[in-house]
Parts: sequence; C-alpha cells; structure tokens
Amino acid sequence: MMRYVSMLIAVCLVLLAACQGPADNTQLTIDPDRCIACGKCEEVCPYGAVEVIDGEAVIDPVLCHFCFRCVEVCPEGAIY
Amino acid sequence: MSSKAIIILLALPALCMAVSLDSYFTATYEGDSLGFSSGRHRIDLDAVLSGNSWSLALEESFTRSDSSDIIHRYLTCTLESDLDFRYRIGSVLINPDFRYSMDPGDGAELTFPAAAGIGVRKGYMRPGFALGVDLPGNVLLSGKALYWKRDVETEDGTGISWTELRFGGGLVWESPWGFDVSASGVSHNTTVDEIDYDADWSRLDVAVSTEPRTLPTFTQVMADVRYSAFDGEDYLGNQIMSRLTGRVRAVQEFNPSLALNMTLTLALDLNDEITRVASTQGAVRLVHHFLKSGQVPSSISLGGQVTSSVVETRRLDLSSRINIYSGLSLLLDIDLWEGPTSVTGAGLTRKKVVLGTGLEYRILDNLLIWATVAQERSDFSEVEVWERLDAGLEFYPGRVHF
Repeated sequence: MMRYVSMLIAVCLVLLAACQGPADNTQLTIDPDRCIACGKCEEVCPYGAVEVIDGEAVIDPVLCHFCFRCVEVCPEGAIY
Repeated sequence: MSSKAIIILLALPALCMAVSLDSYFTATYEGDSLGFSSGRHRIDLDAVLSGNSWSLALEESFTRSDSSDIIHRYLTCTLESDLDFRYRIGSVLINPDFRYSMDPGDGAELTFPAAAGIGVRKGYMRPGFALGVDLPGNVLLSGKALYWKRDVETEDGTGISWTELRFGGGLVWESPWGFDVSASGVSHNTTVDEIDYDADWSRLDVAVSTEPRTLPTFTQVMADVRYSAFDGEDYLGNQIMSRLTGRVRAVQEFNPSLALNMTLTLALDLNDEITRVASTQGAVRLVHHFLKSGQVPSSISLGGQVTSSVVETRRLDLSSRINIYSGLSLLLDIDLWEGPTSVTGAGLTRKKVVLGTGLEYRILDNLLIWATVAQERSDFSEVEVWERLDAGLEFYPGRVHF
C-alpha cells in the first residue's frame, strides 16, 4: 500500500515539475463529493455566477470574477 | 353498455393503482460568520407522490440570512419552489421539472457582466426537460435542456431582459472490465439585451473511472481521469483553457472500526501554447467507529485538506458523535481553516478557528433534532470573536399508501 502511495506522489511531483506554476486566472473547481448543496456559495456571489442545480453547485465560468467569496464560505471545502 | 360506462370501466384499474406519499420536513437555524445577529434561517418542505413507474416531487424552501459590516451576503432572502416529475416507460425516463425562485424582500444586489453597473435580482423561473435511455450493453444515454428567465432590474427600477439557455447530453458505458467511460457536452448562452451582452460557452468532457478495487492489504482504490475542452471567454475576455483532471482515492481499513480515507487530485489547464497546474489537492480522513451497540453508533473523525490553486487553502478538523443514551448523542467539533478572504483590510488570507459542542437526539429514522453552540475566532486586521448557534429539526413521518 505504501509503495503505491509513494509511486503516486512521485508521479504527481514529476508532473508538477514539468508544468509552469499556477495560472494567473483559471477556473475554480467544485468537488461534487464534498458539495452538500447548502447554497451558501450562491448567497455570497455578487455576480450571480454560482447556482445549485440538481443538488450540486455549478459555477458559470463566464460570470465568475474570482473574488473567492464562495471558496471562503463553503463549509465543506468543496471549492478550490 | 353506454360509452361513459365503458370509459369508467377502462379507467378504473388505473385509478386503483397503488400510490404512495412520502413527505419530509426540515427546519434549520444557523448563526454563521457572515452575520453577527440572527444569522441564517432555512426551512425545507419536501413531498413525493409516486406510483409504479412515475413520481412527482415538490420541494419548497425558504432562506433568510443577514449580512454584517465585515462580510456582505448578496442573496439574503429567497423562496424557492421545485416541481420534478419522472415517468419511466420501459428503458426510457422522461423528466420535466420547473423551478421558481423569488426574493420576497427588496432584491439582492447584482453586478452586471461586461462592467455594466449594478442591478437588483428579484428571482427567476427555470423550466427544464431531461431524457434518459438505457441502451443494451450497459450504456446510458441522456439529454437535458434548461431555460432561465431572470427578473432583474437596474438601480432605478427599470426591468432587464436576462435569459439563459443550456443544452447538455452524454453517455456512460459501464464496461465489463471494471471501468466506466463517459462522454458529455454542455452549451450555455447568457443574453442581456439592455446592455448588449450575449455570451456563449461550451464544454466537452471525456472521462474514465475505475470501479473500486480491493487490494490484498484491505485497501480499496479507485481512480478517475477527465478531460474537459472549453470553448468560450471568461469575464476578462481570455479564452477558457481546457482542463485535465486526475484523482486517486484510497480507503485503508485497519479493522472494521477504523479506516483511513485518502484523496489526491491534480488538475492541469492547457491550450496550444502552455500547460499550467490549475490546482492540486490532498485530503486525508481517519474515522473510528465505536460503541455500536447503541441506537446510534459513536464515531470520531480527524481530517485534513490542503489545496493549492490560484489561492491556497488549508483545513484541519476533528469531529465526534458520542452516543450517551438511546438516541441522545454528544457532538464535538474543532475546525481550523486558512484560506483566501474578500474582507477589506484583512490581507490576502484569513485564519479561522471554530470550537463547538452540542447535542443530537434521534428517534429511529423518523426524527432528528440537534443544536450546537460554537465560538469562532477569525484573524482579520484584528481577531474577531463570534458566537455561533446551529440548530435544526428533520422529520420524516413515513410512507403512506393509498
């Protein structure tokens, strides 16, 4: 088990080394396994970019302004 | 025999078909860090009427929340109705639904796209239609369409025509070799005539995911990879980059009461010129169940999560539910969080510690009542200390047949 985890971490580190750093502007991600559809992200978004659809929060990439209010308020840490 | 009698006799079997009614009621009260005073109230009422091959679900929810001088909440009062009908004919599932949302108050502030100023959003109506077909060979084909008609006004009360349209569809194939393959697409259009705004974006996804595999070391492993190709521009006019996301999850069971969950996620954004790390996330959670002889098993959970994207977020939490007697349990929560903040003057990050305790009472699967009190300490330009109260009730009266 530890050998598999070590190999996985090594692969991730190689991929990270081969890529440029974090983008200046990129899409936020919502982890569907952690999202509990509480709607708090939708409440704090001043741009109407977040909505809960079919029990999962969805971010409109065109309206999102990366203000990170939804990241800050999510109780499950599902947005990053 | 008259034609009316024939019609009644033909309809009688259908009228006598068994129908059941499920209903569900929840009410929650939350005082969270976004409001000093009354916090956030939410009431949900759900009911489902179902027959042999159909179901009709109605969800009503009312949310009222306040804002503070430090953190502003833009959507403060909403009343939502969601009607969902499903009908299965053999391998075909037909699913129309309708959602209506309104702000019973003055409306929430909304920043218009294309830097067109500030407005007020009062709600929307959103009809939808979905279709699903089970095909031979473990293939599921689906399609969905949603339409939004938003009730939006400018600051001087002038109505705005804001509409959105989304089409999507996909297929999922469950292979006989322990992995699933899926392909899907979605196209979305937003049009606001008064500010000459018309934006389209679309996405195509291809994903492969493995079913859980159990290794000889009592470890369950599953992995998935997804490639999403985007077409469209973000709010700054930059092309939205495509994304490649990989995730591995493992559950190590040390004994029937103790398990360790681990998740690693890596996302890359790429186009023809560059490849960038969009986000990385690692999370672990150790869960121990004990005292299983009571009505509610006791458990303690220790978890941590680190994410790095355009911002960095770190989280460490400890939570427990200890069954005291029958359905009564003691709740304990400790939550440490560091991440981005939008609070003016607070710097780039915010550190938050929440310490909470409470009680929960459960009666079988029919009734759940809980209340917790907590203290939150947030480090802005100076440390703010807030007391929080969470309470709720969930009631499931059971299924009625008639």
